[in-house]
Amino acid sequence: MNKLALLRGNWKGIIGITVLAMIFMVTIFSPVFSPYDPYKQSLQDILIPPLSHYSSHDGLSLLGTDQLGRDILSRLLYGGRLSLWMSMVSVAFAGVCGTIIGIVAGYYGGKVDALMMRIADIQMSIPSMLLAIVMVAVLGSGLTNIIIVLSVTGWVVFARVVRSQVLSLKELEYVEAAKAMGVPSLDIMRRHILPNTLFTIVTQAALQMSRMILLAASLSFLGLGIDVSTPTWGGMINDGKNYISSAWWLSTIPGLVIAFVILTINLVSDWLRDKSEAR
Amino acid sequence: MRPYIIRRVWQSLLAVLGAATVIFFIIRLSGDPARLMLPPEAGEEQVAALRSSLGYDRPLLVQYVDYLKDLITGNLGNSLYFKESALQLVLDRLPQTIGLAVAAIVIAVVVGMLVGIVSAYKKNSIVDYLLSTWIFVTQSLPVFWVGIVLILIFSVQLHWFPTSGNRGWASLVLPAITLAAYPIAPIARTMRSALIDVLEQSYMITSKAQGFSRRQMVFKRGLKNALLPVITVISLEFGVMIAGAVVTETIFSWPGVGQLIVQGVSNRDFPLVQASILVISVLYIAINFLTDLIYLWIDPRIKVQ
Repeated sequence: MNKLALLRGNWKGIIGITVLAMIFMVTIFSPVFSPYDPYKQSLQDILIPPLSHYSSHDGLSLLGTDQLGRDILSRLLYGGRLSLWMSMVSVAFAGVCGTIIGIVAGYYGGKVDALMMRIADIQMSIPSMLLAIVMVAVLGSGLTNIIIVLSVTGWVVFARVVRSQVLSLKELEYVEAAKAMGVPSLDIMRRHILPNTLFTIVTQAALQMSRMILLAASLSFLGLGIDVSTPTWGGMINDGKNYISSAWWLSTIPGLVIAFVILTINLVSDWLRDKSEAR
Repeated sequence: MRPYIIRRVWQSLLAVLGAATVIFFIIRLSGDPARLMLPPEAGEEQVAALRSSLGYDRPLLVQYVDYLKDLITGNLGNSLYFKESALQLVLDRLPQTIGLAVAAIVIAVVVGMLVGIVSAYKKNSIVDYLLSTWIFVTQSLPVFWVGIVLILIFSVQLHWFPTSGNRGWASLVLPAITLAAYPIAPIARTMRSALIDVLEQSYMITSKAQGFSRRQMVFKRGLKNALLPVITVISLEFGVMIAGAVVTETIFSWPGVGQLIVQGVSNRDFPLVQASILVISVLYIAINFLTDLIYLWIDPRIKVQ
């Protein structure tokens, strides 16, 4: 295939991953890119609109300030680092646990499978948002707890998707041959089954990533996220909703950022899904 | 058919039991629910008093059995904050949430199906491209942000609708549109791909050969068969919408169960939170069950698996 065809066929992935990489760069290195200190309050500069000048010191506020005079752009960058980090870690946990459970359940079948799937069904009888809310209520807010909550709501999808793939994989001839030769089950799962599920796992991880960013933002919006002083995207929208009439940028801009990030991740997910359908 | 229905009823009851059990254990996850329910400065005697009055100092199994017995009789305890029956509080608010959800589903289904049908009908045209892009973007928007932007534009700037509360039809519009933002994109997408699949089936070619116009083909034959996946999606999305309802009710101060849950959590009113989540979970399970019944009615080919 010539290069142009490759580009056109994969534009979603190329654009998506490039933009995502840039977002990651900017947020992970937020201390470098952030124009001001996100925690610094400035009572002279409360609620100044985007592209206006600070009065307390020399400088332009690109996206305005909030009700305590803190620079919105800086808070967005720091908040982004938190949001992306939280979602990645949670997806990783959920993915690892879900995959292990899915492979074990799918490969061994029988009672083990029935038990695992029963547990999954029981968890699924409560909508995940409600589960998240009550867990945060009980465990308390804080980064570790939120990661635990997000991971718990996420493992089931991985388990189910991986399991259904394993069910078909285990009928493959070389797997049956390996079993007949006496290769230990653990090795079969590790060397034959797992590599073939990787693509599915990655696709699912992309989907779950955007779901978790949204869930984390929703929790922060409801005041159930990390503590209030740390900048989070959802928390910023929550703060801003009391100032809608006077300072629209407080809520609107973080929301746009969340939407943009999720859109980009969804673009990558779509690309991965197209690829998996083509196989 | 009868054994299938009985089996589904049984599964649903088990699911309710499962949900109740999960909630039971989560509330006790921290080890000391009584301490959670009191503000941090509460003294040790206060905590101990609450603990014994709510029975948290008994062995776990005893608590669980009593919990199940209470559930069957409909006793979900009293709200710590409102000092009334928690179940009653939830049931009083439930119609508001259901009303909002129904309004949102109606909007989402009407608009979603229209978008899906039009883009399938005019597949690969500019219209299809624009609509598909709209679907994609809508899917990525955080719902609470949509609500706030709607308030900004339609309440603050244009003064068309009130910003909060529940006074008459006007106040239903913005929350319903906000909540509809959740399921609208999946519904549109599924409708489009289901209809495209159906239109390419062989019996469609037969219809065309018989001389039916394109429009007749789409609406008479195509649509009915495309409905099945769409109904699946609608029912799946309902669960997500419940999550959305919590957020939407908070933004618009809509007096439903979602708002009750958030209030309950901030007041550390665990009996109320427990009751709310239980009721919503039962509703969720009931909807899944109803959806299966609808499948059976629409497509008799679906047999027991």
